[in-house]
Amino acid sequence: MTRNTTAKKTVLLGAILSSLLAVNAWAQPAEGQPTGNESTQPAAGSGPSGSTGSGGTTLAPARPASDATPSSNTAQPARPEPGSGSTTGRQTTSGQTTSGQNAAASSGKTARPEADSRPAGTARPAASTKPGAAAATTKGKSAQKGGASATVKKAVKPKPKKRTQGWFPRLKVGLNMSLVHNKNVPGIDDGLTFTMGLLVGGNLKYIHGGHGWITNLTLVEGLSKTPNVDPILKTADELDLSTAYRYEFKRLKSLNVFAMLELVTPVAPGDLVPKDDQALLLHDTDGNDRTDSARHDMRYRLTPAFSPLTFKQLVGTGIKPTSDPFAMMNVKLSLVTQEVWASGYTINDDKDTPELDLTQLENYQQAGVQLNAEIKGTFKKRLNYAFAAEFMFPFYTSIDTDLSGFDLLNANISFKVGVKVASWASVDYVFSAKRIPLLVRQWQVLNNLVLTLTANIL
Amino acid sequence: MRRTWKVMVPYLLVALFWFAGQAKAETFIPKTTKQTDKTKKTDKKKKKKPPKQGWIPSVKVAFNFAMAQSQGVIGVPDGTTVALGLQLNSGLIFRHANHEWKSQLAIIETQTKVPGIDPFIKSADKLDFESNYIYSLTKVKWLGFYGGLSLTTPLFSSKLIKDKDTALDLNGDGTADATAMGQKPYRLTKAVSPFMFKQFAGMTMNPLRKKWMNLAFKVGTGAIEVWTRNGFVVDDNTDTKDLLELKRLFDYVEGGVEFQLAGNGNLADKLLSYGFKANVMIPYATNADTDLKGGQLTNVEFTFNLGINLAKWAALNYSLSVMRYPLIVEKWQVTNNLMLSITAAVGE
Repeated sequence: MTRNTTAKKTVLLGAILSSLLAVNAWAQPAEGQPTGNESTQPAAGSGPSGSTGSGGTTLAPARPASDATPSSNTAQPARPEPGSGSTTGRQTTSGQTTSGQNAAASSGKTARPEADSRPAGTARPAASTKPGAAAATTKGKSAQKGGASATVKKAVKPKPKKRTQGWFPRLKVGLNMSLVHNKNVPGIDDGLTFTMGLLVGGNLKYIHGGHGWITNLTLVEGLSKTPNVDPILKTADELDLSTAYRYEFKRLKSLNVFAMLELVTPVAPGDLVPKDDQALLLHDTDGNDRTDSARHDMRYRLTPAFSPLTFKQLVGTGIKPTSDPFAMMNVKLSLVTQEVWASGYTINDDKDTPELDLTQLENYQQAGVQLNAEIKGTFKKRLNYAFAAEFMFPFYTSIDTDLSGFDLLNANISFKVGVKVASWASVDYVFSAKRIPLLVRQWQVLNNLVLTLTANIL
Repeated sequence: MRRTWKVMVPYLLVALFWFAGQAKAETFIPKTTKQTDKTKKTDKKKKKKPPKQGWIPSVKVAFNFAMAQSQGVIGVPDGTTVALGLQLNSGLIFRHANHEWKSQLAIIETQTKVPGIDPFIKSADKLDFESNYIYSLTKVKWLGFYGGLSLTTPLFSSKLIKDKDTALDLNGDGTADATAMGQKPYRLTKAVSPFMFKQFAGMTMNPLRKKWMNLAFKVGTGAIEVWTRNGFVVDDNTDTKDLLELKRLFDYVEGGVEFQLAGNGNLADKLLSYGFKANVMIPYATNADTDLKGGQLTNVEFTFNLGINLAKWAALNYSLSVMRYPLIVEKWQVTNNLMLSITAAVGE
């Protein structure tokens, strides 16, 4: 038993370490990775500059977008290195520097394609038409060394246009973890204390004209273990995956039509861990009741993994009355069908009886009308919030139930506030109140406050 | 003739390899390079920076927090889960010529609350403060004398939480003297207790001062005072199933000889940082009324910490503490702590 526990701990520790390092490894290159727009502004200073006068590399541009070198560079002709045997920086009678294959060949280095594309007799094209070209070179060593650098430095860097079409991926991972193990420490219980929180948020958008294809993924996981309770308890567990096609009208951009698929499910199995030995009364869907017992400090399996799984199909129309960054509002009205695959039991206790009542979950389908209202925004890039309300009124239900009318209303209200402490850390609070009467009649309430380390991977 | 060749071939081969070796050595390690290397080394020696003088503060804080509350959620137990973690490592050094005054403060705190158990459960709780004066000899800089004091204590009171009502034996007579109610906290020790205060003086050696390892060895003599404020510690006898034995802690003073080996450093371009400290104190005098004698009274303390700096702001910190203070608890006390945390560092 002890060996197994130790082995489990070791495996767990190894997995955590490797996953953290992997996450970090992903995150590192992404931080400095330029977007498509930024690629037009090469960090000339960071690479071997084309005109630093260092031997044969004099004319070899450091970055692909070397055509961004401004005309000021011509004021600093490449200096032929004495004794280098290279004539790469050969000056023409016009005072301009030649470049090209010959230069590269004589220096014993491969000519870069960019150099080939440059017209002979011109060291570099004068200020490129590309935006940000001047600013790019001001960062370079050549510009700093040149006499004209001071004026070039002050050149205004035009902002690149924000891309509005194409693919827009985003992936954000937040992690929170603590593990303590004690043995024979006075005043502290022997055993393992472990808490872990994981938040994955990602979306992939494809925008083309008025067409948009938006896929969202959210995964929230929370685990906890203390020496006083033997099994690991899950404190949060939800996977939400949705994909939607949306068409925005050209003349009335605030109005759109959409079709969407959505899948919501817990990932891990659900367990009951009673404080004491607990007698159970199980109410099956066929009307039979049976008894069972859950042992103290032991898992009693309530639901298997991925249960209950809700799959929704929606078609409808949406309207965006405001698109202010501080308050973006979105209201959707749609026709919806949903299938719920559920197995296992859920707690539905009658406090008048000594037993703990468990009700069996069952599969069902519903069709109805859904109303979504969402308002979200950011304030000074530090604080972001989102409030969402979803009401689904079913007019068809596949199973027999004593509920009718508004008693069958499915509701989901959520509120999120995030305060960005830094670019890599945020305090996030999430409140969620959910009512799915055919699964659990009472409201399912979840509060989550987490200080999270966040890595924007994409 | 053939015989001559047979004899000659091995000699020729050896000669060939020898020449080849010589030629290789001469080709790849020319005299000029050797000279440059030598000059570089001497330059490095000349350029070796003296240790910083004056006040050198440093603070490193790692923090971790999470809270989740659920009610009626399928498969998730109702209740609140809170996890709170703090690791603080700070130091203040004053260095002036051969004199050095070095103070360190470390706090580890982890508190957890889970559904089903009302109070917070502490899983790590330790404050460690140490202040030493060190005088290094002028001619043998790695050798010196030190005098210092340290204190170690938990910050919060400790509680026993049992799932069921449990009979407690407080006097060690095999009978139930009290009952710890199920799910209710039963206090074992008060806050800041047991409090351990040490004073030591002796000789110190610092043979290695590199970035990758700063090694120090101390040998000295001193005293330990322990104040327990009549607390209890769990000392369960597994043979008595229905009874949980608690042992009453007592105050005591010990004098003894202490050996300490401590080191710390950074590896892999500061990706990894580590530190360790091993303390062994052999007491020669104690006022405690105990059956333990000689080597059984030896106090041992070993701590190791490792930080993997995932980024400037995030680190995975691991710390291990193994200690044995037989007059408090005869068994080895072991604490492992691993925390992914937001880290802020100030100073060196």
